[in-house]
Amino acid sequence: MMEEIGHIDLFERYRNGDLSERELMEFEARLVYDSEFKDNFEQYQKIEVGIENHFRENLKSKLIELDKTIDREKPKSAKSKRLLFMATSLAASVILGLVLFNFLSSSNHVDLAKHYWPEEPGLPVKMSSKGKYDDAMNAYKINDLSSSSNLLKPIHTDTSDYFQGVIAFEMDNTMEAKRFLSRIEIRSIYFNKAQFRFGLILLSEGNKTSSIKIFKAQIIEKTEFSKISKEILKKIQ
Amino acid sequence: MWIFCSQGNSKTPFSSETKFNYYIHGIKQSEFHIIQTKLRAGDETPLYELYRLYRDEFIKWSSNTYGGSQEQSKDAFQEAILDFHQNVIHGKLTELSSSLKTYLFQIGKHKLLNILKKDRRMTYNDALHLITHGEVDTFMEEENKAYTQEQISNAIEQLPEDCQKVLNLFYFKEYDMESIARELNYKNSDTAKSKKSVCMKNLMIELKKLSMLFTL
Repeated sequence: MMEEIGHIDLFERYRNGDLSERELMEFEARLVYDSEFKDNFEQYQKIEVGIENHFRENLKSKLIELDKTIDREKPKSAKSKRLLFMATSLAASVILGLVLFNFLSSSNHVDLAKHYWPEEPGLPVKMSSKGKYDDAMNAYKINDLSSSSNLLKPIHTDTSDYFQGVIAFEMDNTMEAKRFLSRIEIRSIYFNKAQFRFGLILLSEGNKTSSIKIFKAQIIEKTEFSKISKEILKKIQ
Repeated sequence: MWIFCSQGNSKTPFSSETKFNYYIHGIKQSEFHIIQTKLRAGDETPLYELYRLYRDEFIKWSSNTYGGSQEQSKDAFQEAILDFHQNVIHGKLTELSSSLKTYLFQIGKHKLLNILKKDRRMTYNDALHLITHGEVDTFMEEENKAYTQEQISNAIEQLPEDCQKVLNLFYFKEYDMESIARELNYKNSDTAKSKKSVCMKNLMIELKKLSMLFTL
């Protein structure tokens, strides 16, 4: 084992092009006559490939996580509503018409915002390792919103801001919810979700003009909330 | 991909901090260069934005055209994004001759066809039991000489964070030693070289520990 590790400096120098001409000739000759040295060098090269693969897989696992987020963000009811439309077009139209009428006549934008507020399941908590959001997410999942919020406070990331925004609204603190959600920048994976929720909060406060702007943006951007934004716009415009 | 800022008149791709920004499909060469610069600087966010932007369209297109399942299509598109990333940081992709969407869909298509072919081949082998016991033994003997990807990954995860960063920057992001030194605030490229050498030795030690555990 010590011998293999001892070779690493030499392999590294070869890799970096730091061997002198003579050392390089000796190195290449040794690869021919010393089969153990050759095996060690081949193993070193395989480990190098393995390192690259490891970090590629790491990036891929981030895309898989993003996949889950995108799938979670899709409004759960959209598919069933579409099926309902196809299966019972006339009856569904009547029912939706009645629902629409109720919303319009009551003009209750708070109820409308709560109705369309997407369910947020929280981040997955791994059993194998401890993540920085695990305690906050465990509290969130058992609806201990206040503890979850306290645990997120020291973390200054877009993820933390997003969940703080969701929690604040669910605790009826719309000012705080707006403050957190508006911090989320466009490059964040939470941007569309945060914007959509921000629009709903504005709607619940009666700020129809600004909320309409946000729902229209969701439609233009073709986000996962574009269909639901169209629905909301139909009801409030 | 244009991002319009409604608060102000600027049209600044991937740079606005304002809330009301809209993505419009169709990435132009100048915007591709911005993505390129960001990826080369180690910023992965454009990859997430591209994935989010085109994933569903790719799934729909690939399942209609090639009959891939949703999971196969997702896998293929993730691989396409990773290849795009590697091609940019390795300097293999410097100019786009088509739109970025077309480029990604083309890679994704080939990835999907490979996945479909591989899945079919595995089913075929499973059905015919082509590998005999003797062949398995020889294969296992050969395999035991080398470390598995899982062992290498586990060993990397045992390394201190700074070592993981050095290895990531060198092998995955292909930084040279000077850039690693700059990125990680080392004195100079020689310091980065010796740090990397120490990290490789530590990795080797972790691999030995893991393989001994495996043998026991």
